[in-house]
Amino acid sequence: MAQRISVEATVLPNPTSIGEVLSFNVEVKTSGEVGYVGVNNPPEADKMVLIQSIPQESRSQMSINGRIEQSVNLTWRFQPTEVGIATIQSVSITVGGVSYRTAPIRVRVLETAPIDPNTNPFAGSPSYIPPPPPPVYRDAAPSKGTPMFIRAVPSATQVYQGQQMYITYYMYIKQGVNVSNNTRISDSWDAEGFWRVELDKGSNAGYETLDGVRYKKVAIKRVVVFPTRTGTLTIDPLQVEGEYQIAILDALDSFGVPDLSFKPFKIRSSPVQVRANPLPTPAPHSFTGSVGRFKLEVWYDKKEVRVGDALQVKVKISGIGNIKALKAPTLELPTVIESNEPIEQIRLDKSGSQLYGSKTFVYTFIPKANGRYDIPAFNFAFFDAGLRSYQNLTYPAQQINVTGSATGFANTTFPLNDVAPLMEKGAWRSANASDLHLRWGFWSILCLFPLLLWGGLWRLRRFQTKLETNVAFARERKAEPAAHKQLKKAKQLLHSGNGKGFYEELSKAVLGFYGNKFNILEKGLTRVELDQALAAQRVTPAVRQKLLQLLQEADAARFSPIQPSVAQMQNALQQAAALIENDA
Amino acid sequence: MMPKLFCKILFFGACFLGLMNPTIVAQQLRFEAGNRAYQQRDFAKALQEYHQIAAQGIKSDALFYNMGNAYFRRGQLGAAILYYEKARQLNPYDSRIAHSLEVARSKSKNQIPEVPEAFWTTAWRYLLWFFTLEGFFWIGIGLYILVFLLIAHWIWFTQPTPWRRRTLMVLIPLTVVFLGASIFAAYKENVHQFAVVQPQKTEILATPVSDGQSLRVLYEGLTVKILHREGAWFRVKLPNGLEGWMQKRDLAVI
Repeated sequence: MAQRISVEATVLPNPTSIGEVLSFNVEVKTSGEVGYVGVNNPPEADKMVLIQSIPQESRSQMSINGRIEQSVNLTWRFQPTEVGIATIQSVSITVGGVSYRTAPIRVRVLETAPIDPNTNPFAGSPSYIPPPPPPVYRDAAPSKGTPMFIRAVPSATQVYQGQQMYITYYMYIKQGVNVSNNTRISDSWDAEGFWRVELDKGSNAGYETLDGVRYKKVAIKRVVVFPTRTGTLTIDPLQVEGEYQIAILDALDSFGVPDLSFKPFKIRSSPVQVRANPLPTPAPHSFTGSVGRFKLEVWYDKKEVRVGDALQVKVKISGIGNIKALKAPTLELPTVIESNEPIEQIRLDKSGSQLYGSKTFVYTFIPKANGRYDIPAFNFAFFDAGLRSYQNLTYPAQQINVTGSATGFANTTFPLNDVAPLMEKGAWRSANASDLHLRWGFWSILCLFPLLLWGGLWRLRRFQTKLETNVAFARERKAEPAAHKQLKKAKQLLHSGNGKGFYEELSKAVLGFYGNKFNILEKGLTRVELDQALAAQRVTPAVRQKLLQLLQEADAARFSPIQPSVAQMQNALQQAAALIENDA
Repeated sequence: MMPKLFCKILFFGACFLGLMNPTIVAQQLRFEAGNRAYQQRDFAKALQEYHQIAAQGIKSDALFYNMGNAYFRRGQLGAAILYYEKARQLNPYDSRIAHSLEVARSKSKNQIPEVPEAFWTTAWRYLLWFFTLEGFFWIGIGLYILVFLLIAHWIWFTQPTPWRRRTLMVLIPLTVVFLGASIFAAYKENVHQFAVVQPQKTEILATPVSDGQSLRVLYEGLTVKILHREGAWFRVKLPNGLEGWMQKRDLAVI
């Protein structure tokens, strides 16, 4: 897309007057990067002198609906030298290697300073009512013997509270009188009950004839004041002190010699009384005290934005009035859109006869959720003193489209003066789910349980060691299980009708039991040796007798050719079981 | 039949492990209803839903945080700060909770400078957040079981082994540290409690009597430390270190 470039020249104020300083401004606007801007030659003018040959340069950038616009302003200052129509000739500007020429501008130069309409950007408005002409001050006539005086010229003596008015202090110096360089304004000047801004004086000077005497007229102070309260307010006189010299030959002393010595002087203007009227009521809802004439401009840098990204809106209020005191329009935004305090930028132009300028509020909006949302209308109300009524400026509501999701947004950007959005997910748990650590019983078990277990383990380990190292203990431990195992085997043989096998197992069971229990090597022992060994282990004679009888019965049955009866075998099995059970 | 049985086993198993506590699952649905009411700016209804969840004995950073937001929107600054503080106890390093608590505090009329906390307090708070009280406890229990098993191993296999000795030398102090930390944290949680001033305006007194000398005027939303309880009175410490007495009814314990 081709880059659009526009070069436009303007001049303020127009019309102007002799002695006033004009600003000649050339604005270069491009739809992209401006790049190098050069001036071949400074502008030329008829009936004006260039008092600032090197232009003042300022650059600015603005994003409108996602498009970047850059502008460069070059400003020169001129001063008219003659009454009539002056012309500032076209000037050649080079932008990115291409030359552009501005159109010549005609400026009307008056003899005296124009009143409001001349510097008022709204002067062309059909509804504009010019303020009354300033009163003529003649009361500050030259003091006796002093060939100079100060005249305060207010733009009005009756204004509304907050309305801008300006006062120019002129010093009139009789022709042929020189004022020394050390002449100065005393510091005592004040304007109680007013908010005030000094304007540029400019290097203006002219001549005026009063009562047949020609005076040099110099503006020594220009100030804009805004009454902050109602009633009759007084602005202090302006006092100037210094030295003067009569430089013409008609000033002769008593000896007829010209008197060229410097004489001290102290002169003061008359005080200025201003009547500040209250503003009419009722005021509109959005009125915050601004009086003057303003216009409202709003720019959105984009209307499509992702969740969490910033959207910037510039609101510029410009015009004549107390620019510094302008307040940012308030907005009722949807809750899903966070807004920071707007950043303020002020631009004041003090070079004209009135104070005008602009205040820009840069709002930053951060949407927290996607969807289409309305940014409400911007409203700005002011009191127009010319129309004597309140005016309401409105920039209509705009819809923005927010895309994307809120993932990862919550932790990075929160509204400055508001709480963060709701939590959708969190860690959940039962309030009494984790009180185990608060129970003394748990801690007691935690301490006692291992001690008990370790004690048991230690005992088990000792038991195992004893089993491994103490044969007698080990045999005793296995005596009964081994005997029962063999009796079970004998019982099976009984059922299968194997009498010899049955008695053989029965003998092994009872002999093995007593051998293990008393750690006796039972194999190879005669019955007598067995009986003696058992007697040594304090086995009762009755038991020993039963055991020997059972063994004899078993031996007889094993070697007899006759198969023992089942009843006999069952009886023998019961006796063996009784012996093992009783001694186990 | 079998899949149904399997599902039952899985569900109760999950419940047992705390993954799907049926009470919590039911209350999460209620929580979502509360959030919807909040989005529709029906803060009273949102609070009703949230309080019903809290009444079931559920603790959640999100629940307490959203309660704080709902109270904030209703202009009840004291209650808002109380619930933000509760949420912060469960999730001390969440930026959202910290931000909202800060915003709520900035709206409070109390302008009391805080005495900066000692570095070990900050470190302890960080450790407690990192491990949590339960974390300290269960890690300690895990280490304890390991120590228990190693000692059992020592009892059973009586021969000395260098690896077991070295492991025990590491595990025993760690067990003491973690279990000790959980006991300390539980003690602090029970003994060193904090409370939030609820009335719009009240006073801290020099003595626990109604007509005692007033030390300072306090406004809703100030968080104070409870030092001692005596009948209907709390001895409290303000963030600037000033100590005095306040009536129990003026404070909500976090």
